[in-house]
Amino acid sequence: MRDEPCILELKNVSKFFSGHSGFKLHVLDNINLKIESSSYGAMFSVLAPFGAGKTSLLKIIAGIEKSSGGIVKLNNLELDHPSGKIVFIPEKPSSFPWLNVKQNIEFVSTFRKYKLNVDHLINLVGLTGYENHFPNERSLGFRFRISLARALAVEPKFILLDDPFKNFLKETKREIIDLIEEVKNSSSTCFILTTTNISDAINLSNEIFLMKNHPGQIFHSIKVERDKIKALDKNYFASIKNQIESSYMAYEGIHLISEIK
Amino acid sequence: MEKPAGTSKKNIYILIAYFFLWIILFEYILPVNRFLPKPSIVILSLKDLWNFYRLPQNFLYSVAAIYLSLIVSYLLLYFLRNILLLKNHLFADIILSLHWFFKYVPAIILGLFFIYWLPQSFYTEFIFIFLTSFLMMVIKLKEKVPKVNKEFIEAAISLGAGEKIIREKIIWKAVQPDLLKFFPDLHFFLWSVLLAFEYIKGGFGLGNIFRMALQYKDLSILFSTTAIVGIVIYLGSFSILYIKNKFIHWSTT
Repeated sequence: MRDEPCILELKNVSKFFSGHSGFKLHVLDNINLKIESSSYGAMFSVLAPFGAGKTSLLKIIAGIEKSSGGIVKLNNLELDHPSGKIVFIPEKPSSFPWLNVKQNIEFVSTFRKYKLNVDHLINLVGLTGYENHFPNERSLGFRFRISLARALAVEPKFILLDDPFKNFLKETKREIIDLIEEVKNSSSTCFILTTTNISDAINLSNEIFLMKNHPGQIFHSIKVERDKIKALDKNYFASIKNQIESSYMAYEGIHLISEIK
Repeated sequence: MEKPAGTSKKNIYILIAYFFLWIILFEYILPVNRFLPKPSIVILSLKDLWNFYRLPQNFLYSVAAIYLSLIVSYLLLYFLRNILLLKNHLFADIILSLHWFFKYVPAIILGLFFIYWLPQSFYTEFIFIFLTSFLMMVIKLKEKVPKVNKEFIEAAISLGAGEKIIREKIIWKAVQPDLLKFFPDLHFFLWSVLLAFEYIKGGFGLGNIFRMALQYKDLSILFSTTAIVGIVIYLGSFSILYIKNKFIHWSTT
C-alpha cells in the first residue's frame, strides 16, 4: 500500500520533570525536527547516549506524554492526543500476555471499526502457524513481532521504536532488522528508531539525528545513502561513522563518544 | 500447577504420620486425657455431629455464606471495574476510605455491629461476609493497579485505545494474576471471620457447632469439626488455585 507522504514536525519541544522535593530535571531542550515520509517506507534514527531523553522524545511524538513546551505537528496539524497515526513500541515487551498472537492483533478492532486483515499481518511478521500461541514465556523477538503486527494493524504513518535491539540476541537482532526492512519496503510506514548504537543507526537509517544529553538536544543530522550501505561500501560506512564522531567531538567533546557504541 | 501452601508430598506424609501418631497415642497409650479425643470416640460421635449438632444444615449454611460471598464479590468487582479503576471517582474513593476500618479495626468487631443492627438470619451473615470480601478485593485491586506494566498501557494508548478500553481490557486483565493469587489468603481470612461471627451470633453455621461443643465440653465434636473445617478450607483453596491456573494462565511480571 502506498500512501501520500506526510510531514512530522517538532518545534521547540522541551520537557521538564519535577521531583517531590521541588527538584526540576530538564530532560529535553528546544527540540526541532522535521521528518518527511516518502511514498515508500523509510527509517530515521535518533542516536544519543543513555539518559538523553530518547524515550521521552518518542512518547511526546506519540502523544503519550505531554511536552512542557513546543508543539508536535503531523501534516501541519497539531497533535495533542494519540491518534493511532504514530504508534509507539516500547523497549520492553508490550504484547498482551492474556491474548494470543491473533487476539493481540485483533485488539485494535475493539476501538477501530474497520476490517483487519489479520492473516496478512501475521504472515508479514513471520508468525504464520503461531496464531494461537500466547506471548508469555516466548522470546523477546516473538513478542516484538506481535507488537509490530499490532502496530501495523492501525495503518500508522510512523512507528516509533524505542531502542528495540538492546536486549535481543545477535541472531534475533539480525532477523528483526530484516523484518523491519521488509515491512518498510512493503508499506509506506516510516520508522523512527532511537538507539545508542552507531552501527545500527548507519545500517538502518535514511537519516540520523544526533542528540546530546543533559538536557537532550538534537544538534545535527546526517543523511545516509541507503544504496551504498546496502552495497556494503565499507569506506562509505566509515566516512559516516567519522562524521558522527567528529560531530559529537565538535559539539560536546570526547566524553559523549564513549557513551555511544 | 500452583498448589495450596503446605500440600507438597513431604507435608502430606507428615500429616499422615501425625494421624497415625494420634491413633496410637490417644487410642492405646493415653486414652483418657484433656488434650485430644480418643479416635474410637470421635468415630462414635459422628452420629451426634450429624443429628444433634445438625452438621448438614450448619455446614451448608457456612459454606453458602463463604462461597456465595466470594462469587458475588468477584462478579460485582467485574461489573464495577470500569468505575473502580478510575483514578478519581467518588464511589471508588468512598470504598477505599473504608480501608482505614479494615486496617485498624478487626473485621470481627465490625461484625458485632451487624449482629446488633440486623436480625438473626442467613442474610445478615451473608451481607457481612460479602462486604468484607468485596472490600478486601477492592483494596487489593487498587493496590495492584499502579504495578501494572506501563508498557501495556502506553502501547494501547498509542494505538488509539480510549481510557475505558484501557481500564477494561488492559488494566483489569493485567491485575488478574495478582488478584487471584490473593484469593486463597482472602478465603482463609473469610473462614476465620465467619467462624468467629457464627460463634458470637449463635443460631446456625459451623461456628455455632464450635460454640455448642464448648458449652457441652464435647472434645470429640470440637476435634471432628476442626478436621471438617480444615478439609473444606483446603479443598476451597485448591479449587481457587485450580480456577486461577485454568483461566488466568498468564503472568505479567
